[in-house]
Amino acid sequence: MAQTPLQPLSVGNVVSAAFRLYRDRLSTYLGIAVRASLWALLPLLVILPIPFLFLFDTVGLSILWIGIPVGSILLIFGWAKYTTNLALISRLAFGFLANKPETVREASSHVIPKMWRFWQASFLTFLIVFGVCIGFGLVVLICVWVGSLIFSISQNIVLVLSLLGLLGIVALVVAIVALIRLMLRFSLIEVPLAIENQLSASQTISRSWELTQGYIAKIWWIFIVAALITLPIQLAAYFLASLIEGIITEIVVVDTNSLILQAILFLVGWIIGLIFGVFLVPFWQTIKATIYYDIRSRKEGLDIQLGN
Amino acid sequence: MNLFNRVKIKTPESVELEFALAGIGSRTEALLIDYVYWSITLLVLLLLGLLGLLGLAWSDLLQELVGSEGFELWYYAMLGLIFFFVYVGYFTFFETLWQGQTPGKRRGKIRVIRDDGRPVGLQQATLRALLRPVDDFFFIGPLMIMLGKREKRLGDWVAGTLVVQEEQAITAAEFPISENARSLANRLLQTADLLGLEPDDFAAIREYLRRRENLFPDARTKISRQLTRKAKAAIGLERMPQGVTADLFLEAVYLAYQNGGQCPP
Repeated sequence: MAQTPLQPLSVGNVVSAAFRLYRDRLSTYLGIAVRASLWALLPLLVILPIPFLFLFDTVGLSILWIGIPVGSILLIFGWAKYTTNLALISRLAFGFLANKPETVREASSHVIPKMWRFWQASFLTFLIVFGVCIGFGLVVLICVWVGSLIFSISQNIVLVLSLLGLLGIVALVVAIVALIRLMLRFSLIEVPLAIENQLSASQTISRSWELTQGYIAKIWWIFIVAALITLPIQLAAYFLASLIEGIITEIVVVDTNSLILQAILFLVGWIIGLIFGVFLVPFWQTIKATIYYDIRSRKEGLDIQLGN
Repeated sequence: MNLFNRVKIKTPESVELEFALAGIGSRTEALLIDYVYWSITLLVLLLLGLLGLLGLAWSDLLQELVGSEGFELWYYAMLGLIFFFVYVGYFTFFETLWQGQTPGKRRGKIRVIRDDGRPVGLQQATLRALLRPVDDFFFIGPLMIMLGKREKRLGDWVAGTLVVQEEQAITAAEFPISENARSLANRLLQTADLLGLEPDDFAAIREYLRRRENLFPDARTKISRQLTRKAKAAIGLERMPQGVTADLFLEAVYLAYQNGGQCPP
């Protein structure tokens, strides 16, 4: 064990440190990631057969009365379990960074009781992002309306059209940049809740917001470098999915447009994505834990405090 | 727990040096930046070729040499050759000229060195650049870096090189210290026992003073109090001198300790 805590890290070193944490404790993290993914899978396994049952006329519309509520409850529960397990990985990784490693059992005893707060935090974030998107959509709609007003009274149609086109492009770029910035500001929401004591769902969102302020560009760059490292796994997943898709289309002698075939292909792709995701998800959680540690060192002198 | 691999190197002069290896993150970052610069270089060259600035002169010459029949093949072969030379040349040029660094490696604060710690030469840089496509193919290189103890890709094994982090020299303080701290430091040297302070405590105080401007106000207050309390006990000072803030006290302790804990002559 190193005696001196890690000092603020460069972009490359954040990724290297996170990868090292991931590699050295892969079996532990994979176990948690499998559990998380199974919870994410459960509601879909219940909801997915419903359209098929419809298709084959085995059930009537009445199944919706049971299917929708049961599906929704499972969806919410699965989602909560999923985010809690991901947060658990971040807590474990942070423990190693701060030189205070915990066992899975110890970390779980802190994280699992907060399950509904994790859900609330991610749901609140979803609502905020959704709200911002709607707001932006409204602004665009108003602009289009004003534009069409000008359009109807203007003489020079070409000029108005090209101006509107230019405005549309600018609006699109602004929207994409703003959305990315927003997502980056919210990218750490589950980490403070998993590590710090007595935070509420909204407090953990504010924590993510204040910690990431001024570090957007660095986090963005870290995510890009990290994504590049995961490229081999992503490509492997892609190749495997297209291979299986090819085999299935060759073997099954049915119309390629048939709904069942499409559904099977979708399911195969989805399951492969989930299997490979089990390998990727812990890496992202260790990345987030390392970013969190790094920013807290820079803004709160965490490394100096730990050294004392 | 050490998150970064370290190597010990014995130089030809039998001096033992220790380096932290670059790590997959910094190497990926450097490669990404280099590929961007490299693509821009290539794009500019291609544009020049297409615009005929270069193209006209040498394509006329080429046509005269090979006749119009095999011209197209020759033309593309030449383009391929240019592509190859820029690819290999970019990395060789910079690594040789900048002592093992490229623009990307500079930004990632990493450097290529020989296995024995000497700077790389033309030979090592060329071998590394020639094997780069093999390493990139099927991600052989990245996988070897991620899993190997010495983080060497094929090119590193063949050329006998290592990629290490630039050692950050611990320079003299690059933070402002107030005038009041200097006089307080002199007083401390006479009244307190600075030798009671551990090197780790001193390092913590230096880190705090260096980075305090970027800290949240709450955290700043908390840490300065923590450090003050610890330093006071260590140097055997019972109470703070009148009207001295925590920051001023820490600055003075820093200065006094730096003086070796002894009164200036």
